[in-house]
Amino acid sequence: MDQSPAFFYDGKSSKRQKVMVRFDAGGGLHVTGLEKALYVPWSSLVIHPRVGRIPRGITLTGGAKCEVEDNALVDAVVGRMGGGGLEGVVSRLEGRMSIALVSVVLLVLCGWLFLEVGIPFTAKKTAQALPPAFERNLGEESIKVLDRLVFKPTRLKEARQKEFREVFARVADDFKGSAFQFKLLFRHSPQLGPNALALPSGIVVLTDDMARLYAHMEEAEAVFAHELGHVVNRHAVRTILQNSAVVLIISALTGDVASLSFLAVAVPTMFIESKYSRDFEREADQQALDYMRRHKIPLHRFADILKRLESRYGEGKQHNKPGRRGQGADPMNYLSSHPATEERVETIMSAKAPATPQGEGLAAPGEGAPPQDGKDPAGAAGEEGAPPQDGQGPAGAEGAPSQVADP
Amino acid sequence: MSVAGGGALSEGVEAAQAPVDEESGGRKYYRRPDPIPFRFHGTGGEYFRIWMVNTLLSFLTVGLYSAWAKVRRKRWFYGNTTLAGSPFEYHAEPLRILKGRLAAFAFLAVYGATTHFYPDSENFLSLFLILVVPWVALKSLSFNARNSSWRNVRFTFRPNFGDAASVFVVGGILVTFTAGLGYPYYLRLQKKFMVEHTGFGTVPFSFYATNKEFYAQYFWVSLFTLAGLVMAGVWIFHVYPIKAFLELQQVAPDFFMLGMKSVATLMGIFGFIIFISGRAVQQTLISNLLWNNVEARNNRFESTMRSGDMIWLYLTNAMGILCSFGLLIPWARVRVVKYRLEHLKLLPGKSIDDFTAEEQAQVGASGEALGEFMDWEVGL
Repeated sequence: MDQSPAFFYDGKSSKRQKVMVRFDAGGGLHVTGLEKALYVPWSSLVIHPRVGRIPRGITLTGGAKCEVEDNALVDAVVGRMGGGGLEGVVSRLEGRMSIALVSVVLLVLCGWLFLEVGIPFTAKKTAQALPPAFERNLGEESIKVLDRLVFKPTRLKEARQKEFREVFARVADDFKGSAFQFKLLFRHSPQLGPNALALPSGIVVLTDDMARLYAHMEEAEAVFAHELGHVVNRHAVRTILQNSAVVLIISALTGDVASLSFLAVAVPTMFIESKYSRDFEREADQQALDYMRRHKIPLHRFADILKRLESRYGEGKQHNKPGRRGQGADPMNYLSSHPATEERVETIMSAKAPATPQGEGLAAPGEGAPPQDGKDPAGAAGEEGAPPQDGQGPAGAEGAPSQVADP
Repeated sequence: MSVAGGGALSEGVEAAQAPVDEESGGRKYYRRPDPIPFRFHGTGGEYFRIWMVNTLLSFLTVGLYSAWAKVRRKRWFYGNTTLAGSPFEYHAEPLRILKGRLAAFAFLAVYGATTHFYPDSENFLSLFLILVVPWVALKSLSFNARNSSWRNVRFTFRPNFGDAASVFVVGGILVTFTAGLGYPYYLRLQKKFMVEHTGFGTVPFSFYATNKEFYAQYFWVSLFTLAGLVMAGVWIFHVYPIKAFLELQQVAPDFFMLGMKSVATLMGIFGFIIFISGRAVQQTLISNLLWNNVEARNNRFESTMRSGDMIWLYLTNAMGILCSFGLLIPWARVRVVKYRLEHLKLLPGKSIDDFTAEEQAQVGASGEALGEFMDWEVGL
């Protein structure tokens, strides 16, 4: 005898009537308290899914509806008659706080796995499957935009250009056999300062300020190897794919909170995108080191140019004080698109050890690295160039060529 | 019009004769029923459980479950909102929403691929998109309205495509050409369009707010926005370059740098506060303006939200969300909805029992996915 008070709506008007409902053994519903007693067999009932403690709706024949506060009663009948389905299971899961907390942990774990492994892996495979025309196109469009926005004609002397071209040709030779057409361009850019960019189609742009910074041609060789590393590993496309995926996923997860989650979306997205960028930089660094080993170029050449950039254009001496080494990771480091110079130099120097296997030598996150906010046009980042990390923010995708292109 | 004690609500007031106020010796007064408040019964804790479990399931199913997640969330919000003791209900079928979402995804993929490999088609396709998006948005409003009900009477949304075009297209052009000054006018047209094509059962809503009222509210919103922009401008153009310049020259001693950094950070934080406050003020003023000027067969509403309260809500929510890495989002959301509903009342005309239901045609969900962002809930 499961009786319960309920409200009845006939579906034709907004009039509400107080009734009593009862389910019989066969699941049929008896409604008493109306002008005429009502009976609806189980097969004609549509029981609305349970969500939390909201009153349960039951649609009867003819569009009428009953509304029952007592969810437990309805659940019992549904359980008995075999129903509930997916939403029934979910509802039970939602009922326990312990399950919710486990969900948090699982979500964080899965999320981390997805971001760390899933997305990069998928992006890599996708990028490899894309036709080379795609990247050629991307590169050509990028250089047009850059020429319009930040580049001026070079002031480098022709003789000097020739020197660089020879070195570049040597490096490009090493990477031949791919669909990329390697080309070296010279530009002058007050905004970008000393920089070497790699565009997806194989174009490498060297700024005048950077050209002046080299003390030895082997330094340039190392930098070129790093840049071409970006190209052959298709970092530009992978960046676009990865950043877009991250934005989509985070938006989808927090999507129901619109304005309030503006920050919840933007901040983690920035961290994640910066991390992907740093991963790519490390990969390109490895490429450069491999090249240098193959061609018996002393590895310190690469470290030299990095250090010179850092000291001339870095954030300021106070961040390189000896006392700051050994401190925990500086939060600003996680925001930068490049690993800290110290970390990269360490990687290079430790790579000298013959026992170091390929693909390792990734140092711990930089200690006391200078804040790399990148908005600073004077080149705060102190690597081979100042990353023009313009405010692409969560939208990431369009600006990717110039972001990844940084050495 | 005196409200002498008020009649029992569930009985309503008979339409035929106005009741007589006997104390005044036989003169007839129309006795309005008391205002009926909206109530929200849900708690943040309960929503957290629902949100978390559903989000996890959406994630594990690569988004396929998300249609069910959305429907359950909406059901929970609707079901916990009561008016005169009766809850609202959301009826959408998740399967339809899923199909709509897959269709939308496929469409966007095709669009992206086509415009990439045939760049010339982009102009044509963009035009197509411009026409399709409003249609889809309207379909979505329709879908949401028809799947919302109170006391088993469904809402309706009957857009007239011609009206819609004139409002959105003309309005859009107007706003562009007046550099934003025409925005309140455009907003009013937009709200009027949405309200007057919405109905409850057979009764359409009417909208009474005037242009003057919209402009008045936007005066305050603009003040906030302007303040925020000024802060941001000062920060970007003056404080930041000075800081960078000094660092570059390594001229400034450490403590001065610290001072500059603090100022920059403070300005950033302050600008952020202004931005959030501006949004809160906008939501409050426009929402109040909307609800206080909507009417359905003599039933009106009273919206008494206060900007100060909303600013506090938004700021504390933002802080909470940041500090908890998003875990407090469910509580934040519930707080806002609860506040909104507890400051909303229905001022009934005669009887709330005599709204009649419409004949319901079957509604497709194809427009739902692409137009998801234009939720019925946004109006609240």
